[in-house]
Amino acid sequence: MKIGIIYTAGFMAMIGLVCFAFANTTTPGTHLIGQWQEVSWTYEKLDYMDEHSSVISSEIDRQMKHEISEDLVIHEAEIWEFSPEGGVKLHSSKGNERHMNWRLKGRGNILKFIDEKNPAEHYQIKVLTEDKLEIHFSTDIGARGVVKMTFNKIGEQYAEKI
Amino acid sequence: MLKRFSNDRALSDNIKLGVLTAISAGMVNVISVTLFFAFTSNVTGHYAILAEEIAKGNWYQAGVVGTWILLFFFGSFMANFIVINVNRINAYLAHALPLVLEIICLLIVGSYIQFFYKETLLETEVMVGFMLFAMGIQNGLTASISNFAVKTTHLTGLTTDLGILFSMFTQHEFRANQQLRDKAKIQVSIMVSYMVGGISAGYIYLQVSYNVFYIVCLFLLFIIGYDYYQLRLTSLAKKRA
Repeated sequence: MKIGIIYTAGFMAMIGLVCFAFANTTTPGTHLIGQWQEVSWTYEKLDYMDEHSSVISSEIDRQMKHEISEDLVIHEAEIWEFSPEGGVKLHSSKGNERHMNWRLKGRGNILKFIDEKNPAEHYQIKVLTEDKLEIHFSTDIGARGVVKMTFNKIGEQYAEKI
Repeated sequence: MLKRFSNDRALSDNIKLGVLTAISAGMVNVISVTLFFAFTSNVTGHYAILAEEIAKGNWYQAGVVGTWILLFFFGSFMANFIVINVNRINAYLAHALPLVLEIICLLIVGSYIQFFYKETLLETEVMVGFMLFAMGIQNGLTASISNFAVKTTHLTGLTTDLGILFSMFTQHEFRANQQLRDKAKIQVSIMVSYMVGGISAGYIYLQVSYNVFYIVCLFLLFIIGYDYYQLRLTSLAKKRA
């Protein structure tokens, strides 16, 4: 009898802890919905650092960014617009627009882009808050390393203007 | 493989059980990483992630990972609970029942992916939960019936044991110890089988996609069926004698 009470209490405590974790939190998908403006491209990690690169910041210049993203679906996209239905619009500064679908994987830490014409692409979400999005992905172009893309959430009016 | 319990088990029983279940664990883990980007045969990494998410204040993710760990725990709990309670009635049934539960979990995941999966985050989290529960059952069962000699779903302990064993084998007295040699045989066969399962799942997945789940179920059915067949043979032989 006593062991039954202890087990039930333990079980309830574990369920309670999980419920506590879920209560008053929003899912990563909810945070993601909206428009995000790209603010920076940097190397999060570099494969090597030569004596000259120590003075160079980890910022990725426009040319390198172009080379890295050339074959990716996110190429030249500066505003990412996620809809709750699972669609995403990628706006470039030249006014081009690309439509595809997005999904979250893992525990909400993997962003998957599904484009009918291209193989699916996966990006790792490192930070996702109400107003900040940080995405990492590996690249072999130039200096092999992990690219860190940072976005800020923008208002809808701004996105419409663009 | 399933009919004997604890110290009554022969080395070959443990090796056969270890090999077949490790292949299925390796397959399940690789499919889950490929499909859902989450490990399902081991929880060590999930503990680290849980701690990281709590530290970052990501309570939703912490809740998800915490639930996954609990499901692995309940899987193991359930397997051993069945073993110790049903063993008095029928040893084979006690050992086969957890595997049946594991098959059901994997069939649910496979058929859900086949017919309903829309790749939403909630679906992904639930599927991973089912797979962790299934792997908890498998690990709990194999460890329970083999007196902790066979653990097939995670290789941290196994790699540690192998490191210790091989360092012991540098000395002749330990090399001559049959018990240690047997242990090494089990561990090496589990390690190789897990890798074979993982690699083959990676290849097979490209060809048959979610059907890999059904292949894993076939492996588990083979384990159940093999022992059932052996039991039938033994009882037939007894009747004739």
